[in-house]
Amino acid sequence: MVTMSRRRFIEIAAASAALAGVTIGLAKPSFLITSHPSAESKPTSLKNNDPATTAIPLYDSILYTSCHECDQECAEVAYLRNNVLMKLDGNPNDPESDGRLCPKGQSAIMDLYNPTRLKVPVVRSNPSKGINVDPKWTQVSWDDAFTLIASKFQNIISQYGPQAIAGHSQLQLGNLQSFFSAIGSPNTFQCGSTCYYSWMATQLAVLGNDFSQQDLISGTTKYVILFSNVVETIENPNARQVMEAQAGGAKIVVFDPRMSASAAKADLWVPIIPGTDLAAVLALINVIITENLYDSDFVNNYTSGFEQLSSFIQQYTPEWAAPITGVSAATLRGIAVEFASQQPSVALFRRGPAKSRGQYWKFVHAWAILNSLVGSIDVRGTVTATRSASLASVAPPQSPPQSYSAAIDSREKLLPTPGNVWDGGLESTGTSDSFAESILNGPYPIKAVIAAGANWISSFPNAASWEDALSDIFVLVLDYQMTDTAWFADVILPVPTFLERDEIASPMYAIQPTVYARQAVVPPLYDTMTEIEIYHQIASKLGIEQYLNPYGSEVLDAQLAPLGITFDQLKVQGIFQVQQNFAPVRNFQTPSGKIELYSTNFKKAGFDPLPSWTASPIQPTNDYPMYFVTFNEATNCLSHSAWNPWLSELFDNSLWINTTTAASLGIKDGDLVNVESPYGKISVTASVTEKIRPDTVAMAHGRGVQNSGTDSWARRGVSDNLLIRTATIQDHISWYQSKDEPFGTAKFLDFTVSVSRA
Amino acid sequence: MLIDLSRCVGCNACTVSCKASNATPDGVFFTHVDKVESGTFPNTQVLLLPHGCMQCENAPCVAVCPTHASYKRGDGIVMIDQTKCIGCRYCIAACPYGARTYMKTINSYFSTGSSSDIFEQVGYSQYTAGTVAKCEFCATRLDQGYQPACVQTCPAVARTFGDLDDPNSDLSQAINSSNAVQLLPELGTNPSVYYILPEQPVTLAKK
Repeated sequence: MVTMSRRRFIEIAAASAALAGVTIGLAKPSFLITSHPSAESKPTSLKNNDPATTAIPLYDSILYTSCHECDQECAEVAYLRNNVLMKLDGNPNDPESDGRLCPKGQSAIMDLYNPTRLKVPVVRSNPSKGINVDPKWTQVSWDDAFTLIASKFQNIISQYGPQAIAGHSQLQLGNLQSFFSAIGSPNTFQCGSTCYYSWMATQLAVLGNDFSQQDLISGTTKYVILFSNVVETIENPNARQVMEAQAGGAKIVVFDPRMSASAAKADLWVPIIPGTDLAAVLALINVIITENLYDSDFVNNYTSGFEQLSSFIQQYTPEWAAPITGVSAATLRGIAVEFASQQPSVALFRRGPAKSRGQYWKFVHAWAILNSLVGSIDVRGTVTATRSASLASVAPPQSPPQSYSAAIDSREKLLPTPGNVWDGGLESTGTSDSFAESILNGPYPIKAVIAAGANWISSFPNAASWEDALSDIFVLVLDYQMTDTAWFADVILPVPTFLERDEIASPMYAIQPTVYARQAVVPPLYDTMTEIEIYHQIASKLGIEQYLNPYGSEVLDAQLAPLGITFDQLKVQGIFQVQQNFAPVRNFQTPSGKIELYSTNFKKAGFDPLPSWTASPIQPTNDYPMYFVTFNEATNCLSHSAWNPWLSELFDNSLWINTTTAASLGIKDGDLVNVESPYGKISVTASVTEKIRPDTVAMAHGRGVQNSGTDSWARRGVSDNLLIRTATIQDHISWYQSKDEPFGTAKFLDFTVSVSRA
Repeated sequence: MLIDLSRCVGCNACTVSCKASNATPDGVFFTHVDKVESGTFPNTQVLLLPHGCMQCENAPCVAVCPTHASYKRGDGIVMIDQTKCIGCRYCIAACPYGARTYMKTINSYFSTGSSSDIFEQVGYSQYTAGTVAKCEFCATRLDQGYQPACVQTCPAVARTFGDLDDPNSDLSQAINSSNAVQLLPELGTNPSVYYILPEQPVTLAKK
């Protein structure tokens, strides 16, 4: 490793200032003098008793709450002055945030006070819908809105059955499901097929639980392989853990076709060909087994299927993997040997470019094998399962008369979950990415949808099909900004931000079961209503309110009762942890009770019990010769950061393209370029860089709001969704039947692109 | 302040924390992160360089200020008294680090203006159009027992703050033991912000 010389650093510092549009003069004129008549003598203490800074308390009210800019839900402290929220910082007692918020958490003040927020209920008066068509919103009273919605729902239920109503909530899924149970429709869905379903379900099949939460410990953890981007996305505590582990002596290796911030901080950046991560992991496993470097105690005690794995892995040598991955055999071999010999070591995969591609379930299976071979499953310093607090559930006053399970059949026809390969698998997800098709051409009519904090047009692939699907049905949107999906609504009901709600939250990273208080730090700013209250009001008009989950402070207290605290008590410090010793899970919830390197769950369902390589899911063609990768940054989560100017102004949605490639295409930095996929075309600014493979281009996801009902901050950038198609239901079915894809993962990034000057 | 460039991941949490704490208007940043790449694929390197005001011991901005609006207070923080600032911008020319911003107008982030949201109303009231503003190490936060906003929030723990004048302080010891450097030391400004230089990544060139 080379320490940068001072001269080189100064060159870069000068260059950096120049790039920032600021002049640094290396030779300064003579007015730089070293004695200053106005300088005061230096005191011995740091604190000043300066009335200018101490006369008025900076903050006169402090409240403990929980962030919801992303799902880590860091515990935080809200600082107010004269009832105005002036600052947010992490709760210093929070193991997840350590008192430190990412840029999204810091920006939340500007979500709360953003004047472009939705403030009142509205209905469209223009029956015609389109992304460029003015809905002509008209304000209505809440009661009129509920009357309208209830009457629509009642008609639909009478004519088509309750299953003709579907919905997706990114606010609190449980609330939506409670409403749907009450009306008797099974058709709630989540974003699982474009996100977590595959990696969660594969772990359940092989490991019996989700053991992917990183738990690195500085000074303990010795070696970390990231197929992942957490240093760039922050996601407390993940980035901090990686950096502290590195400072404590861990070697960090990052596999990514792009030099993300994670790769930039790594000790070793491996610019792998997109879509080939599985091949790399198989090669690492091959070396560890053939060179006898695995933890035989752990393997013997806690795993099954090692013999089958050993025979299986013989063909997947580093020499085999090298031409597939673009990584030299020597590098793969070197990483494998270091990974196995520098203990404890761990491989991590969340938020990586491997996702949303074919064979992803096999990649996760191989990841589980890799960690199992070195005994890094649910071990402090490697990866652990989140320990969740057991809260009480509070039942509705009356059980819904409809039988939820009886409605499952109708759901299965609509959104094939091709099959759970084991008992107790995930439910309520299904191939939701193809839901637009189900609306347009499904086995039975869908006549109404609810999008609660969900924004399909920006977040799901194939925006155009969603626009079609939403055009002729009744669309109810609950949100706090005018998303492109809201632009297609018939009724929009404004909801409060997380800073205006009382609820119980919990961290993603929890070694001990933990709950956080989330409380309104100011009274709701606008005429909003919480999601659960909205469902109650609609249900009341339908005469079914008694079937819904109750809500309110008594409910929060009842939910917390098993922990022996009330919600008011939880609010005092914001965090409650159940004190328990960490005991690693060693009785795995698989058929054998062990980690199934050879998966009997997969075998039983007719899928590959071992993660065999077939071919790369991405094959460049003459027409579309470049690989295409999307990514997330710390300034974005899902699609909801676009409206926040403090985040939007820092966001760069330009297309990363290698210098050499750009030159060959006549593209200069800052040029507008066309990117075309088999499914769509966009124009985007080029960012010419050495931080990416020459055969790959990349752009950040989640920007480029299109509708004219938002301000220019939200409309910055270009939506990558316009390039991406989704799988059809027939695709999902045929992938399942051919035993290619067990979980309905959308595989929506399995395409390549062409790039040209615009 | 000490900033460890081997830790900075360029996330801009500090940029936004500063913006929230200081309620800086549209176009005004008291700290930001420069990202500079060098090298050729695959041996690319990225320097992530956060910087605000260096709070120089020999502050050129103080020396040139004709009205003494810019002054150095007892603990070394360079402050600006906006009631005295006439917006001549001599200080901006003098500062070699680009730390200062001239606020010709105070701009809301929104087309509806700062009166459309209470945070901007309250926050921007501390600024006067036609004056210069910059990082003041969150002097008010410091005096009331809080950390500077950037230091408090850094998710990668890249920033530390302390008493440079006390050779036994944690900060002074950290600077000495890490061989931390100042930016542009040959100019004689003697900044109060030190940087630990990053080590460069080992890359993939080896076969």
